[in-house]
Amino acid sequence: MGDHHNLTGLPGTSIPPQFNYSQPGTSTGGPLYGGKPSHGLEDIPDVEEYERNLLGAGAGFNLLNVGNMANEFKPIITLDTKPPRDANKSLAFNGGLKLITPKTEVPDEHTPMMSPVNTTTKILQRSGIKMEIPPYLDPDSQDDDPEDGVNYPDPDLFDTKNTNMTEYDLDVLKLGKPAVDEARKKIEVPDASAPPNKIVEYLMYYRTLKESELIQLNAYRTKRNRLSLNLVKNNIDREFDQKACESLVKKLKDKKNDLQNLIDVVLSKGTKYTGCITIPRTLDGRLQVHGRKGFPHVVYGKLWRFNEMTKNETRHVDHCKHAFEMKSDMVCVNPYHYEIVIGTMIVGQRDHDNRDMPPPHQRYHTPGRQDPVDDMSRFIPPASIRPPPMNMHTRPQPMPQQLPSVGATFAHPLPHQAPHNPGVSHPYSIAPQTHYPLNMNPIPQMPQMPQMPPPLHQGYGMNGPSCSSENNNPFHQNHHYNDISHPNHYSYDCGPNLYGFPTPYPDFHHPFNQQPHQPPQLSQNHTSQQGSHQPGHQGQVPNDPPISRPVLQPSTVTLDVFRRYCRQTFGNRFFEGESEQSGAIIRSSNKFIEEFDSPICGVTVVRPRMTDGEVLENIMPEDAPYHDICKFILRLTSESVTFSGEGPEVSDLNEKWGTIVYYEKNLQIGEKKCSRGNFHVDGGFICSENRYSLGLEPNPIREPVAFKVRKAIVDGIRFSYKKDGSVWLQNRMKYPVFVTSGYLDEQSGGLKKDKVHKVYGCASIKTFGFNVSKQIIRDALLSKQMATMYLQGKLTPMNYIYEKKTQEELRREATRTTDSLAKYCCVRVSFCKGFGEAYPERPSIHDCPVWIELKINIAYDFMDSICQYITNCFEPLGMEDFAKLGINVSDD
Amino acid sequence: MDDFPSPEPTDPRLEAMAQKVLEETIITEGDGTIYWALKVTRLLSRVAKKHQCFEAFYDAVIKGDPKTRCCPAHNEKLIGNFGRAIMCVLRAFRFPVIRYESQVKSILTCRHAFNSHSRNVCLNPYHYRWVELPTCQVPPIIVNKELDYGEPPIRTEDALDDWNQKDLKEEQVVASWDVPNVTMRGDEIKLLYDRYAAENGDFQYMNYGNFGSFDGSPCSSTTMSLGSSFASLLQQSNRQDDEEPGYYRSGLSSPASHAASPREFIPNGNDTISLDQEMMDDSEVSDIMHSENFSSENNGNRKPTYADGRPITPIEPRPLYRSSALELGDLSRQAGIYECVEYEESPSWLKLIYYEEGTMIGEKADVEGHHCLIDGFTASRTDSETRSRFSLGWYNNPNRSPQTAEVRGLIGKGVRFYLLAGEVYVENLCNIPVFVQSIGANMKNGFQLNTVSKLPPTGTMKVFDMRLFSKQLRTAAEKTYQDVYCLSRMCTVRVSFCKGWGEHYRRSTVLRSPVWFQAHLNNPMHWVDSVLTCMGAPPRICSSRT
Repeated sequence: MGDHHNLTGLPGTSIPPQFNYSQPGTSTGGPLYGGKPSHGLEDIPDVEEYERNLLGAGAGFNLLNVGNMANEFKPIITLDTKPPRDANKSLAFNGGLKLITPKTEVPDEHTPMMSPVNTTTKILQRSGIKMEIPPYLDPDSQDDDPEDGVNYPDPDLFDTKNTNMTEYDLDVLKLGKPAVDEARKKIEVPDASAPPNKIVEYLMYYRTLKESELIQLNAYRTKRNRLSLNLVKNNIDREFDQKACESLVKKLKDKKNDLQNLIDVVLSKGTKYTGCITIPRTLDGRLQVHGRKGFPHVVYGKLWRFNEMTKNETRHVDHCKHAFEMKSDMVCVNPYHYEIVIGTMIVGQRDHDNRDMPPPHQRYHTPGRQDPVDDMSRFIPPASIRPPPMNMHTRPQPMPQQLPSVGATFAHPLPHQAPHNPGVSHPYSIAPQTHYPLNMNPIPQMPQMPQMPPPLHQGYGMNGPSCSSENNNPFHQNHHYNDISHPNHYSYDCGPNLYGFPTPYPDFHHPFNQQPHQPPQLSQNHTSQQGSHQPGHQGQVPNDPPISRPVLQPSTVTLDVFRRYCRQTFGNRFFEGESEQSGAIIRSSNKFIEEFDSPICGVTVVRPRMTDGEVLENIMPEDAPYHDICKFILRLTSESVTFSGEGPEVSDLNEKWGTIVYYEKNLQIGEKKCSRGNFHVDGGFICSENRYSLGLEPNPIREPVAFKVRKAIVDGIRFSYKKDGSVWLQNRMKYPVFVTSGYLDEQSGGLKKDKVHKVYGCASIKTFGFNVSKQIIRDALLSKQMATMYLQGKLTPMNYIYEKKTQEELRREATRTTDSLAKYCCVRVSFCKGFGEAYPERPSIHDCPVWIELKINIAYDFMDSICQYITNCFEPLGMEDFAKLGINVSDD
Repeated sequence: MDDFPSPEPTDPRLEAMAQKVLEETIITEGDGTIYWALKVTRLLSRVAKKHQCFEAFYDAVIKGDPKTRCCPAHNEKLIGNFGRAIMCVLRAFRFPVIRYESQVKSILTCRHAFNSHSRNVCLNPYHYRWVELPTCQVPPIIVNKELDYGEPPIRTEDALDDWNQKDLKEEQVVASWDVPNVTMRGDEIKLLYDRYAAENGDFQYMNYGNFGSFDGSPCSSTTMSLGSSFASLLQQSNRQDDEEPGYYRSGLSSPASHAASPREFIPNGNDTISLDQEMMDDSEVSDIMHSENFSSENNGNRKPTYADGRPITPIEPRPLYRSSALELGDLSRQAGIYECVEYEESPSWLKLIYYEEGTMIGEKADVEGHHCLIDGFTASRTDSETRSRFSLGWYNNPNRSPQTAEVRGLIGKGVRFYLLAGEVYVENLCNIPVFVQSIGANMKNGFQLNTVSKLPPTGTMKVFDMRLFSKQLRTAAEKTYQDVYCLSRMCTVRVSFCKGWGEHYRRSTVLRSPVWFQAHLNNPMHWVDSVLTCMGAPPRICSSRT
């Protein structure tokens, strides 16, 4: 319990930040800590600036800080031995870290330096009063507000998504650090023999505040700029928690030991007692509380540990004897016996991120202050359009198409917002369905596509009335799987929609549109479901129009065909372990939009992209995006991926497998080689073989924002090099990291390049897969060589395709550099700060304040071996050849 | 377009031999797979079978022992780009970087000793040994500590600025933007080996005649009879050394008149004996022979027993320096006045720094081993212990310009640095020219010191001449601190791929070259440093006006 006070990074000075509302006017001037508008990193405390202010006041800070560091890194050092404990600790640790956020925000209205007088008494008063204030305060009530007309500095708001704090924490925050004892004293720790209502009161004091409560807090703060618990008291979530808590205490009242243990666990955050706390299992395993049903471990996990948690994303720790999944007679409800192991990432669409909204300062301090009701309505989305909360890491944000004003700024036009039904607000629930009956196919369900078991859906359903639309619509659900067996209809359906898409092939849909008679022919021809890959295609097709599918350009082949040509030309060497047919027969379901890409000259590749709003759960079809990791994916939408938390075994080889280069903006600061299977990148100061501590890297011209981000890294991320040559990333921070790699680009589907994946705290993701990267690199380099040979006038199997290409395209292919392929050997991670087209101020990762690049040796070495092979076994290009390719070889 | 794997069933013996093919050769010459090794083995076996020596050849390759039998065969030209049979054998099984036949010698027990004129060779790869060029031995520098060495050096932060702004004193160099250009034609590594082989072959012959014994180490036994025969040569070289700078300045360094292309410069071959050739060759040969002298007579204890003809200090002119080792020892023992600074060799001889335009990319890389490849591929830098290869493709640069990326795509096999006989050579393996700026080479060839040399594909050039350097250092050590300090720039070589700089080019400075690297020669630099240390801080450094 004690550690989070150290973790806040606040010095324990004699002038603590204190909350005082009696002299508000004095707080408006002067060098206020936190008064500076933050740069979109609201959830990262500006400890830096706080320190600067303090140092100005002559506070002895440095020594204390050192002590803090020592405390901070104790858990890190002991982490690596036992993964489950490890995750446990880091979570608890991060839970403590959360406190930073609000705590550092408090002083901005009453800086200690401004009003060091009479604060203590006020606080006492205030805390005394607080208990008597009626439970609900209407933030909008205009009556006799003593603070009317006072201009406050802009409040910093809680990050409602990521803040894990208890009521006790809130009190600590409000009272300031020295008053911690008071806060603790306010509700004394009962023992198991205390009256049940005391125990419940105590347990409720340490419950985790839910998102809706934080939103209420924020709203009140926005209005009055002060913290209040009273608002929270009549929250519906709190009522539920109260009932659940009472129910539990009642169940445990005969087992005093368990009750005492529960009290200890809640107080010590799971450190004092590590055994099980059990209640009897009900028939269906669920628990009815306050009219809602829920799984006991989830209910109590949410009560004391995570503000968001769902059953499917929960794993019990190894030493739990009565875990829910074990189906024993007793169910363990120790919240620290369950971990959230599933990460989620959202393909970087900033529109779906609440960070996208202007920072609070801009939001609430606009010159012409808006009506408060407007503010509130922007802040709390109506429940009906809120998507179901999925887990603590991500909550699918209100989708842009549901908020039409935001949707207009969506990165690319939604395919279903086609001109013919512009008024559809839920396009995915209407547009595909209207087409289904036309395309209903009598073919029975494919055996490998069993229907989804319904209980899994209900697991989500318990989290609130706000289920997603498809869950309420079993009819809809069924048809996804019927339609998988009928691959072609979807492309016809979405054809006109796709036509509005910006694709690199302007002529791409012309054959289709000019020959409207084709689709019916094809839909009768069931063999055409293999059309896009044309396994029987023998390469003599130059004169045949590609009748199999309207999507193929006449002058391209599929990847399979190209690979066969490569085998003919270059031998099987680089194709070892791959079958001749890739087997990826494209069976489009209506959940995908097929987009056509041409990564290499003359070859068309189908890249399925999830339709916006569609959800795939538990069983991934082979042609889905992320097919390489489909067995680890629980849930997939167009914006988020949920991993099951499993992964291959970590490699135990003891050699260097990669190099991490650390950059700030576009300045390289340092690098370190990775060894061991698990390699950590953190913000600390440890010299270790399996750890790269960025705190050790100096940069004299470091920017302030980089200081901030580096402070926030703390636990950092972990790269795991697996036995199959893949690299997984686990984010061990509370803050997100933003990842981009060639592999993820390839896997995520769709056309857009350089996608950014946002990985939330505690989430993990596969960032590099050797087999996929190998194929891409190989295909690209062999295609380069093929084009080069064609330009040299040699015979290649691709000649009939190349003849139709412009000279320019071929040159571009022949001058492909390894630099352009380096991204398939690299993983780039930006800490805390996003980039990409959703972040106009940071178009590329080179603009991020703190980012690293992991170079993976096997990928580079593989690329090297192909380069060597091509250079040594084929006629090398001379100066004239280079010149012919349009490369400026003159030594000017 | 060869098909892998081979259609014909593979002989287990071939496979066993293919296992013996050197890894480095497979990577640098072949495609990195065992198939290439098999192909090579099959080709060679065919040659061996044709001459009925396959058994012996197989035996030799598998056992890897010089005691195996000879495999006499014709030195056929193999199909493809495998070259002659013997070169292919040696490259595959013994020496991955062999370029010339003169780089190897038959061992003495081989009954079909290699002769470049004969068609018959012994294919046993273990009947050859690498010609170890004797390290160029240089006398220590003697520093008189009583002298005032003048102004302290202006140590600029950026070594690059330093290079371009200042130059050696004895050369009146024009401003830095006027860097002359030449094109180097010729093959100086071949020159070196051929010359050595010619000279050494004679001695070996002499050796056989004199002693008639095979002790397997001809180097150590050649020099007994040489003492007197080189006395005249020494005299000659001393005399010529004195007039060497003047000669070069007046001779070859006339500026190029045609602007479009840099003039060409062809290093002299070993077949003609022109005046300058004679001088150069003789002096070098004498040097080599002398170093052998040292190693054989004094057990490698390097003592200056031959004079180079210059007075060391103004105080102690020629006679003292030219006297015997004993006297020299006395000299060095005069406490605190004179100090001998010897050249020391450390295994880490080269440091590479890679730049794209003005930005340094990656980290400095140290090299050990006798050769080092810098190519454009993407090998990862895992084997840091035995690192002899640097792939520029491995480096990422967030700010890379398109032009840089284009040039990086052209590098291919890159360049190779060799450390031969204590001197440094560069070989261009790629298909584009590289541009080399080496003060040592310019001084030796008599160009302006900041000249940039264009090295066409397959060309080699010497970028660091030890003897010249030691001479310069000795001269400078008699002068000022500043002079010695300037010599550090002789230990730096810049190589730019594809794009040149200088007066014939758009780029006035190397900082505009898209892809270039700088090689630091650690050993000579260390020597300079030691000499500077001996000189001590010049007294004027304390002036408040500095």
